[in-house]
Amino acid sequence: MIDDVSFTVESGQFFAVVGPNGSGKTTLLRTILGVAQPRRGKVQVTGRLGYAPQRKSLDPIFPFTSREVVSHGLFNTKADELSAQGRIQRTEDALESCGVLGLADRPFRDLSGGQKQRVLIARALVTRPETLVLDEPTNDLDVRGEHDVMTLVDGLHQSGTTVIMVSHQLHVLARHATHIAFIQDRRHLLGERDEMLTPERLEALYGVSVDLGTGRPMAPPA
Amino acid sequence: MMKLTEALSTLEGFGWSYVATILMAGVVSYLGMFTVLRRIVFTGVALAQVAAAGVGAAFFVADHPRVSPALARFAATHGATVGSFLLTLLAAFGVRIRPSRERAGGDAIVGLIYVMSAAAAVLLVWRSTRGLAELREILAGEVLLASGGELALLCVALLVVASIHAVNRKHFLLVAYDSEFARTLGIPVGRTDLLFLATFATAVAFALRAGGLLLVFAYLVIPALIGLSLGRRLGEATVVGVASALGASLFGYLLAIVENLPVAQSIALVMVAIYLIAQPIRLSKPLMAIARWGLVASGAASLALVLWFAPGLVQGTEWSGDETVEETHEADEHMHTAADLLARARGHLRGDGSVQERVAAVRTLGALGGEEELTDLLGAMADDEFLIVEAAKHALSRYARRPYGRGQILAKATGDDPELATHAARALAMNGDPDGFDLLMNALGRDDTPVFLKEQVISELRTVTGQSFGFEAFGDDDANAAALEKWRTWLEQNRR
Repeated sequence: MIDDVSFTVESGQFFAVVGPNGSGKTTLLRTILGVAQPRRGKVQVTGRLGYAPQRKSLDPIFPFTSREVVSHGLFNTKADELSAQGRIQRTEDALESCGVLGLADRPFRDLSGGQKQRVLIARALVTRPETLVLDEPTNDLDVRGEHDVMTLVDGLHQSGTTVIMVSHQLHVLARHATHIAFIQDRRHLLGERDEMLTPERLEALYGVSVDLGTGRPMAPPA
Repeated sequence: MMKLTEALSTLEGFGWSYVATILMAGVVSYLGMFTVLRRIVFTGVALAQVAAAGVGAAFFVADHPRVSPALARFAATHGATVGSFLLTLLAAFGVRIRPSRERAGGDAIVGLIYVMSAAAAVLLVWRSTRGLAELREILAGEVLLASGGELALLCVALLVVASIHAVNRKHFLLVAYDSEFARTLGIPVGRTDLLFLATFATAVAFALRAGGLLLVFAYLVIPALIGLSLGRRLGEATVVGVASALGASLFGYLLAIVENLPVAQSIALVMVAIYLIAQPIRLSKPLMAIARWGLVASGAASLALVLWFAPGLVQGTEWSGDETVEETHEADEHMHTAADLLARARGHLRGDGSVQERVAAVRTLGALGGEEELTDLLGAMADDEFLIVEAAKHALSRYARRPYGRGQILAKATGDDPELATHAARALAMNGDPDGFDLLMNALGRDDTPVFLKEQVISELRTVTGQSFGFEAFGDDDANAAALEKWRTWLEQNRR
C-alpha cells in the first residue's frame, strides 16, 4: 500500500516505477490499470491503455499460438467496431510491429523469453493504445532478449507512445526512461531520470551502493 | 462372440442410455479441457464426491424419523438430485474461498472437502439399505441402469451447461489463462469464474447421478489429455479430446455388450488405451494427423448412431432403466434382440459364468426384464456371492419404482413359495414400503420360512429399525412371538 500518491504522466513520457520488493509497485500499476481501486482519490486516464504482464504469469499448459494470444487483446472490441477481417489484419499488424509475425502460428509456450515478451507487447498494442503499461518486461531475459524487447519499447516510445514500466533493472531504465518514480516505505518520490538515478538516492532506496552500469550492488573494494 | 451388427442392435436397445452417455461424453469432456488447463483435476474429484454426499444427505433426510412426511417424501423422490446439485454448487463456490498460501495451499482445502464429503456420504446412508445401494452404484457407476428420470434431467442439465459455454467460452478461457489481463479489458473475472464453476458443478452433479464417479472423472481428465497430446492448438485439442470421448463411449459400449462387461469401466479403459497409444504417435507428425482424423471420425460415428437411433427413440421408445422398458414398442427385430439379450442374461445367471458375468446378467435383467425375469432377480437375492446379492438388491430396488413394478413384487411376496415371498418382501422393505415390513414380519412368523432366510430378515430388520427385541431364528416360540409383536408396534409407531 502507498500513501498520498499524486503524479501526472505526461503524454510521450517513458515513466518508470522502481522500488524494492513489496514496496507497492504492482499495486500502483494495478490501480493505474483500473484493476484495483484506490481507497481515496482517483486515477484519471486519458486515452486507451495497453497492458503487457510478466510472461511468467501465463501458464504454459495452454496451447495457444502467438496469433491467438495477440487476438485476446481484441476480446472486448465489438463486431460493429471491427470486422472479422479487420481483427485478423489488426492482429497481424501488431505482430509485425513487434517483429514476431513470423512466429504467429508457433505455440506461445515454445517461444524464447524475449519472443514471448514481444508477443505480449503485441497483444497490448493490438487495440492501438496511447499508453503502454509494462510489468517487468526484461526480467530473466538473456542479453539478446533484453536488447530486442527494449529496442521495441524504445521504438514505440520514439513513435509517440507513452510508456509506463515497472522494473528492477536499473541499467535498463538508465538507458531508456525519461522519468522515474521511487517507491519505498509507503511513500513515493519522482522526477526526471538524471536527478533520480544518483548513487545517493539509489543507496537510500536499496540500502546498498548500486552500480548503474549493471544495475547490481557495487562489488566490495578488494 | 457376438457379431458387431448384433452388438449395434443391442446398443439400440439401450438407446436413451446411449444418447445420455454421448451427451455426457461431449459436455463433460469439453469441461475436462478446462479442468486440466486450470489444473483443477482434484477439484473435479472433490466435487464429484460432494455430489455423492448430497445423495447421501437426501437419503438421510428421507429416512429420518423426525422429518415431516412431506419433506421426507420430497427427499425420497427429488432429494438426491436437488441435494447433490446444491451441495456441489456450494462446494464449487467454497473452493474459491481459500486461505492465504502461507497458511495452507488451495489443494489442501480441496483435499479437506474431499475427505469431508467422502466420509459424510457413507455415514449419512449407513443405516439405509436403499441409500447404501444407491451410493455404491454412484461410486461404481453403471450408466445402463440409470433411470429415465436421471437421464432426462442429465440431458436438460447438460444442454443448459453447453448453452452457457457456447455463449461464454471466450470469457471462460481468457479468465482461466490470464485473469489480470482479462480484468484490464473490463471482464468481471470473479463473476465469470463463479459462472464457470456453477456450470462445472452442475455437469458433475447430474452426470454423477447417471454415470457414476468413475465415468465422470474419466471424462473430466482423459479426453483432455488425449486432446493436448495430439492437438497443435487449443481449438484442435478440444475437438480431438471431445471426439476421443465420443468415440471411446461408442467402443466402450460395444465392448461392454459383446463381452458382457460393465459400461463405465469399459469406456474408461478404452480412453486410457487411446491416451497410451497417443504417446508414441506424438513422435511422428504424419501419424499424429492420422490419429486426429481417426478420433474425429470415431466421434462422428458415435454421433451418427445417435441420429440413427433417434427416430425410434422419438416414436415412443423409452428410457432404459426403470419405468418404461417393459412397455417397449420397438420393431419386432429389436424385440427379438432384446429377448435374446434377456435369454443370454438368464443363461449366465443360472449357469456357471464368472461372478462378473452373473453381476452383469443381473443388471441386464434389472434394466430390461419384465415379470418373467422378476423371479430370477428374486432368486439372485439368495446367491452365495455377495456381489450378485448386492446387484440383485439394487436391480429390485429400481424395479420396485417402476409403474406396476411394486404390484408385481407384492404379488410374489404374497405367493405360496416361502423363499420367493420372503425375498420379494425384502425387496419391498428395501424401498421403505410399509407392506414389505409387514410381510417380513409374516415371514418371520411362518414355520415354513427357512431358518437361513429368517436370519437374513432379522439382520435386515435390525439394520433398518435399529431394534431386534430379542427375536432369534432358533429362539423360543413364545419369546419370538412377543418380540415380533414389539417389533410390529415399533414399526407402527415409527412408520411414516
